[in-house]
Amino acid sequence: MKNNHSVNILLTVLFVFLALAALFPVIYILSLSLQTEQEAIRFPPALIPESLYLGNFSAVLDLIPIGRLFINSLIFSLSSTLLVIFTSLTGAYAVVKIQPPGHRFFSILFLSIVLIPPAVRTIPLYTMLSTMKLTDTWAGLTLPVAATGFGLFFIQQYLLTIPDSMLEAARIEGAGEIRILASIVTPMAAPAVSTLFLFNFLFRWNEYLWPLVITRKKWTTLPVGVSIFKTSENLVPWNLIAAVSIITLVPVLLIYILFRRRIVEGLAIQASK
Amino acid sequence: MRNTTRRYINGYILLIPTLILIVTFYLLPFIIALINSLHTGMPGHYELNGLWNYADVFTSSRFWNSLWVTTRFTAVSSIILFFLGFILAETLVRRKIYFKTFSSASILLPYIITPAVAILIWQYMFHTDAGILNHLLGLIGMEPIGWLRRPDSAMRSLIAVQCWFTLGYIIVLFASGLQAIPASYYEAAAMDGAGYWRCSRSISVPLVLPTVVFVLIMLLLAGYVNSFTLASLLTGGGPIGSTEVYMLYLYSIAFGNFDIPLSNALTMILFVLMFLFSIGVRSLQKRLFSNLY
Repeated sequence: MKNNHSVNILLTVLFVFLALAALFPVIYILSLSLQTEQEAIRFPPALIPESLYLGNFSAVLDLIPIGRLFINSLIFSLSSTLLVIFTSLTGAYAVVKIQPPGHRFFSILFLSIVLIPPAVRTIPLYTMLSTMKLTDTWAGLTLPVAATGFGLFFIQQYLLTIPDSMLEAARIEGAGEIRILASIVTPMAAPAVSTLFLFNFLFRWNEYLWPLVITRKKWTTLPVGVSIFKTSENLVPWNLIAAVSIITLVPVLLIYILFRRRIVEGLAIQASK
Repeated sequence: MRNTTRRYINGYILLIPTLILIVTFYLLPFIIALINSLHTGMPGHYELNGLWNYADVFTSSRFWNSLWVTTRFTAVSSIILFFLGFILAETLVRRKIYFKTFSSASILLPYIITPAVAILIWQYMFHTDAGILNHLLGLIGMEPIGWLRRPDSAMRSLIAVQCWFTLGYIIVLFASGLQAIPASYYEAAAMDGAGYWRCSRSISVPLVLPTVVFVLIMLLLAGYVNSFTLASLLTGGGPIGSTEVYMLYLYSIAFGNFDIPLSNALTMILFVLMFLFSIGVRSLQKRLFSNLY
């Protein structure tokens, strides 16, 4: 019993160490963003800033169009997520609950797009969209990710748990399919829809390769902007890069702090399928 | 009868937006890319080139190098993540750990964080002269390491950051599989005198097998396909191509050499490779489950 207790303490120490290693880079970014330039370029580097200097955040506003980048990221993430929710609900509902002739084929089609890794689509999409003159436009950036295999699959799995008898009752009362989807199924699927919202939003907000390839200047998103900011001139001091990084991370950290439990549940659901 | 017909028509109407998007942005690009890969030249001035792009790829040492780099990167990081992830998940589920919420929440955080931002700070921390890692090593009396400067250590650094990103995710996946095992199994085994490791081997490992397949697929994808951001922003593929993963090679053919047809040929090859992998994992799945029952 006593032996067991000391094992638990030892394992706790191990996990706290791992946790700190996981947090370290984030804490370091935060610390750098609050240092003055003299502090940031000094060696040895300091983990704790001398004073909480907020000047970096206003300084980056003058250097790069951070507001524009933030709004681009927000428009891209939000609009693609809302479209994914719409296409996943309509597509999955039709296949699972209406089952018109050919629904098996559509179901296989949905599953087959799950199997295409997103990054593999990048150059084919670019080839097509550049001939259509859709590079650096909202449509070119967003529509290719407006229906996703993940979204369709996730909602499909949830709809399978809703008993048909509930829908039959509404059908007997004369409700049309589109009304049943809008006023009965969608509210019932709210937990799955909100999990899908969180995952899709985070995924788009964090995405790097796709916006890097398809945007030029007008629709550049924050992650691409940060990397360009870093690589364009080697002389950009790290306290400024850190400030842009923190601005990029704020929505991500907020979502994680508020909805961590839901995110973990969502990951577990994917693994159990 | 008429009601059923109307229902079906409504079903097709609901399917239209999704189907249009799938055909336009999933199927069509691949057909265009396949045709484009048989051409050569700049956008707007393509000429038919037969299978020469594919011949060029298979005789290019840079192609084989990137394939080897990606395979090594994927294999090593997957093995570390797989075993470490399983052991830590089991510890987290079965042992009493204090501050469990804090630890597991922190360990998952890197998976959620914007990769581009995190990789840039890692690059800075790895800096040989000004980086905080070498400074910390100096504090405990160790020599500075040229993290990203030498081919072998650059690869190791790349793998380390990949593990930093993915470990929490793998722990969550395994933990969800382990939590589904009824506690009574362990209690019954303990009653029969089985120790911690015996329970691990005879209960946890066989019953978590369904999760294993999913974890393996995710690890393969992370290594082969999603390693672009990591290699691009941490090492840029260097030094001397030692960390040039497949997607980075493909990207630099498309936007460094502006050879879109060749990069489409590379995409087709990667696509076939991923298809073969998924068949491989599936047959592994069959073998695992036939042992189980």
